[in-house]
Amino acid sequence: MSSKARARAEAADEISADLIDVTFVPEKRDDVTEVVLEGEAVVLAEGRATAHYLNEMGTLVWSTFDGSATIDELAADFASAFGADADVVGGDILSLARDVGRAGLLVGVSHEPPPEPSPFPMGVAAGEPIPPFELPDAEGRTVSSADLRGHQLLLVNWSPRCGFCLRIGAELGSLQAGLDDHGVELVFLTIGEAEENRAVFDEAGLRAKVLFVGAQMPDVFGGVGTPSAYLVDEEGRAASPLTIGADLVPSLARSAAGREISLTQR
Amino acid sequence: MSASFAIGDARFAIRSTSHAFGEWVTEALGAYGVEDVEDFVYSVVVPEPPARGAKEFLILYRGSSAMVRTLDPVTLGRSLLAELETVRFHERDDAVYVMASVGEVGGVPILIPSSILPKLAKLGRRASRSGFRIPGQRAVAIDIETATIMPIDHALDVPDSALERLAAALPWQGTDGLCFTDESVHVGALVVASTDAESSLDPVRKAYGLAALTSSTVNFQRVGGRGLEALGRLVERAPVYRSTWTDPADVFSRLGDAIGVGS
Repeated sequence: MSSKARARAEAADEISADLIDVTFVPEKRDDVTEVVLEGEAVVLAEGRATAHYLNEMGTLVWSTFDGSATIDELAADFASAFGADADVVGGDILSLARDVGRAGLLVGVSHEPPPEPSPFPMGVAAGEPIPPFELPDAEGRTVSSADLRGHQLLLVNWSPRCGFCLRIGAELGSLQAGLDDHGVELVFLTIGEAEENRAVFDEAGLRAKVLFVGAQMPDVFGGVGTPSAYLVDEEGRAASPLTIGADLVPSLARSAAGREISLTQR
Repeated sequence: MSASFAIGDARFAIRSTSHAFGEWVTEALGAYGVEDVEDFVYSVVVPEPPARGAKEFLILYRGSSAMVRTLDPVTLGRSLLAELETVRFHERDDAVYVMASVGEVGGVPILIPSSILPKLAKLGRRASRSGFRIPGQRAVAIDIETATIMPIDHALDVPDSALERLAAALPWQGTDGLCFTDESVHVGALVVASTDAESSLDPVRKAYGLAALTSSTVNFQRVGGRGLEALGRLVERAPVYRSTWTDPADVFSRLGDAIGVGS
């Protein structure tokens, strides 16, 4: 059998990481390289574009993924060893197994590759911290990037004078309920005066947090024009590559609102 | 003046306020010239030839971020060519290619995130007066065997004499000491970007630093586990810090204290 045919056959038997349950027997792929520093591992499977970081406990659990025990059995062992609640431990191990499964590190689990990088990636890479900022809101209160942590954001680089922004405003407005349902706060960093922005947002049915950048946009969006956006995770890191343009920003918003499965950029 | 190019899948345009610079870049990148790309990824501002004593910066913009400010046309040309090399790093397996930059504090090479270059560019002469050297390139090559930062083996089809021709086309020089990697070096420290830092420079665990490096590595699909192991050896040898980079001058000052060199 050719290597491509073998790969296809293997792929046909693989399951999605989301389908891993407590009866699953996690086993590391044999082509995974691990670098362990001070008890914490960074792991990478051959042919993959991205590595995966495991904290100390994650590294310990990862070391037991040898294909000999189910997640339930591993949870019972760890719970007994650490005097912890087996259900809680089981949930943590299940979550780790799904994470490393998605990263292509487990036998029998299909890899979910990240979006193809742009040849000219702008802004910070997915996983990197968003550059910090402190900006006034419509009431003149200063809001910092640190204030916005704790939940996901769709952070949009916006201008009420940009025709492309105006074109996508209504669609972003229609997605706001879905974003809310998924715990994603819509935040606009915009130029211009409060009044002209308010008129645009009212027209589009948008009721998002709006921060005013004044004469110079902070280095949040890598210097690209409007509209552009990041999905930002609870810790203030980019959860998507910087997404640019009137086609892709709504696509990112749809993904974040659960209307699309993939964040892949076209 | 503007000119359009295609390198691999990347199509882009470069515009410049200087006709002489525009002619130079058109010739230097002649192997990649195409027609009418509208995406101005790079813009180059070249001041009029300065009168004696005048010091106006040449500026390389990426989007609207000033990546490099320099008093020396050849340095700017070098930064631009180094930048364009990055377009095909994902296809190469001769080194681990990481979007990170090497600066210097008190003469010690420091690996820092390339995402802060626009912020560093604003430091201007304050940088050299304070004893640190700002990177002139946005990516590094890491030797898979030695885990040192190595000079990038240029793969673009650019005439060997390109920078000499630029010096002839814009015949004035300034000095600003931007850092380029001309020989293999061990890094003396790694400072990663973080939203969590409690002060302007916090020591962090080495795996955290390694994870940050891996997230900026562009050719793992080519170098695989050997590349990860090389990054691991690099991180093992160097202290690792994190910073929000709110005040880069303060970061460099503290870093000099931390690693025992004067900045």
